[in-house]
Amino acid sequence: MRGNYPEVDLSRQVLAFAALRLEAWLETMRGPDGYGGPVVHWWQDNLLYTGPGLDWRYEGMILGYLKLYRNTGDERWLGKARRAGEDLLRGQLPSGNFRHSCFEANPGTGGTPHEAACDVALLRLAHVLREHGDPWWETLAEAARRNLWGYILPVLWDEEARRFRNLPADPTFVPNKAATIAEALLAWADLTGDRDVVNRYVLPSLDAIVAAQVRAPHSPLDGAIDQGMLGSKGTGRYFPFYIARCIPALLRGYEWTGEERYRDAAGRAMAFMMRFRLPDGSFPQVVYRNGQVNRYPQWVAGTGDVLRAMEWARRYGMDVNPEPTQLWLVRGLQLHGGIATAHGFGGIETQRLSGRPDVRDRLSVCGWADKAFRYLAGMVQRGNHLPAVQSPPEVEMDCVFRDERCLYRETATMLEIRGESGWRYRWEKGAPWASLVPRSGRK
Amino acid sequence: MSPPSGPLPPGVLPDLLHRTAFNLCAALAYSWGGPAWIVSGNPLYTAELTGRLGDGGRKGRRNARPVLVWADPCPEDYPEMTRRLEMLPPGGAVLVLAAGRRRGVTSAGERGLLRLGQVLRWLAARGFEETARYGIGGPEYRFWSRLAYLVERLGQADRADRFRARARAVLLVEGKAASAAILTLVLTVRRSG
Repeated sequence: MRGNYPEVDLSRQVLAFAALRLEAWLETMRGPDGYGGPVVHWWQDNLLYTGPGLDWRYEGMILGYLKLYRNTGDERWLGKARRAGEDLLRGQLPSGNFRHSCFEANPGTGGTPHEAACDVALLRLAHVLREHGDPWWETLAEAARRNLWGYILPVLWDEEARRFRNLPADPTFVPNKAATIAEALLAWADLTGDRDVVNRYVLPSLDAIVAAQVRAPHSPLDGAIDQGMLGSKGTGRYFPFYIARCIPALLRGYEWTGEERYRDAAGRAMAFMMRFRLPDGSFPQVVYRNGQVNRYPQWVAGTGDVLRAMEWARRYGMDVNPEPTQLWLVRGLQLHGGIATAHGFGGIETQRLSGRPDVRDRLSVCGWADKAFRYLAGMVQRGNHLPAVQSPPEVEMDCVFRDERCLYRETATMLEIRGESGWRYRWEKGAPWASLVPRSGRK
Repeated sequence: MSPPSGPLPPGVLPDLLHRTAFNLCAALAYSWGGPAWIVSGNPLYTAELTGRLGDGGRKGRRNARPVLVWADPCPEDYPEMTRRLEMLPPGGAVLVLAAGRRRGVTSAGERGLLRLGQVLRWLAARGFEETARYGIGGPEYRFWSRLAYLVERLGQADRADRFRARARAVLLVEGKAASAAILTLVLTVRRSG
């Protein structure tokens, strides 16, 4: 107590309020079958398909809601986690796959690591419901089982190589995707006590991740984990974001087995990330084997997963200061409550920035915002005295869209991009497809 | 790029060019209002477009106008197209998705495909006017993709990634440039009167 007032951790309050504002924005992105909206990504953008995506967005959202529920005891958060779980059940196909699970490549099914991320969410939700004696947990667990044993294990597991394929027709081992599968299987093992899946699939996967890690004690690349391995040959690309997504799985592996090599690998991966963290708390997009760096676009919302990895690292005694990255994340918060996806998309080709932000930076995307939400939700505590969330009815921002100066406008029901002679792109929230005006039809 | 030939199993997606073409086709059809029908002898095209257009939920939308999607056109489609066109009112649209100048890339099996020019002339003779044309995978896209491939082989992955980003930025082209693309999507509308 300081005087008559309780001591308040202001920075934590700021992060907690950001979580609630982000949650309010996520609500505006719900359509009849789930969370939708355009997608931007380093690999490709998908501004056209805007229907629900049953992909990794559900991982961050369900686990974020579960954190809110655990921290506050407020049943409404558990209700929203259940609602998201219902989206996944409704969208599950007879094969066990989820509809529209390919994120930037939607619509499509069998997306990786997206379906495994949905399994993580279903199983963690099942765990909480079982604690409450809610029999629905069995339905959720069965849905995850159908996906794991109907698709991921029979189709993606390569018994000979003892690691997971990227996709059915692509034998590349992708560490961050394998880490997500490992997390799903560990969640299954936690729920059911099935140790066989850990020994048979999880530990070989973690060993393969460790094998994809650079071991060069005097090199700045030491600890980096390659984005993909074809046979024993890596792509030579090290994405801090993807490396961060490997760290919780490695530390969970350490928890299960007590094997130091997993903790050591996680520590060296985090040390690599810290070496490349920039003074503003951000990370470059890719570091290359040849020593070059492509800095842009830098993830903003996605750093929620980096901060989560830092939390795990700190839990195991690693000396990591999250504050610069927390500030980087918070700087991305937008007036409507959403969060910027990136900084520097306009510089992806030249790695130089000029003028106003690209629309892909401005756009708040469910499948990135969920990562920020999951992290920020952990800051909300019972008894927080936070103001009620009120989002402005409309937000406008300058942007560049396909080399043209435009105005980005978003409300609770639509978003549009306007150029000087009219709108270029429009999405009515909830609609499965966006509208694009052809250049020839602009006048 | 191998020619797609049928519905794809989970985890197997059409290549980026086809995905973009199918999505653009669905978005245009959705904007138009629908309902939408598909005419195509190519099983992959039919499966992919049906999946997308079936998501449209266009019933009850205001100002909805019917759309006919003619994908991977071939001479065997003429009787069905003729029948469908008779049911299409003024203001109705035909979206044509066809291989561009680099023919053969999309051909499924042994079917003889129609050239885009032939298709558009056939539609024009029946009162359809071109209102927009998109190309997916034009010369610029192919140039940057090729350059990315070459510099990757030289061990310059960082430059390769920048060139790939450049290629994606010019993946979709409009107007005249569209005609030289690997895939072309043309929106035609029935003239009134």
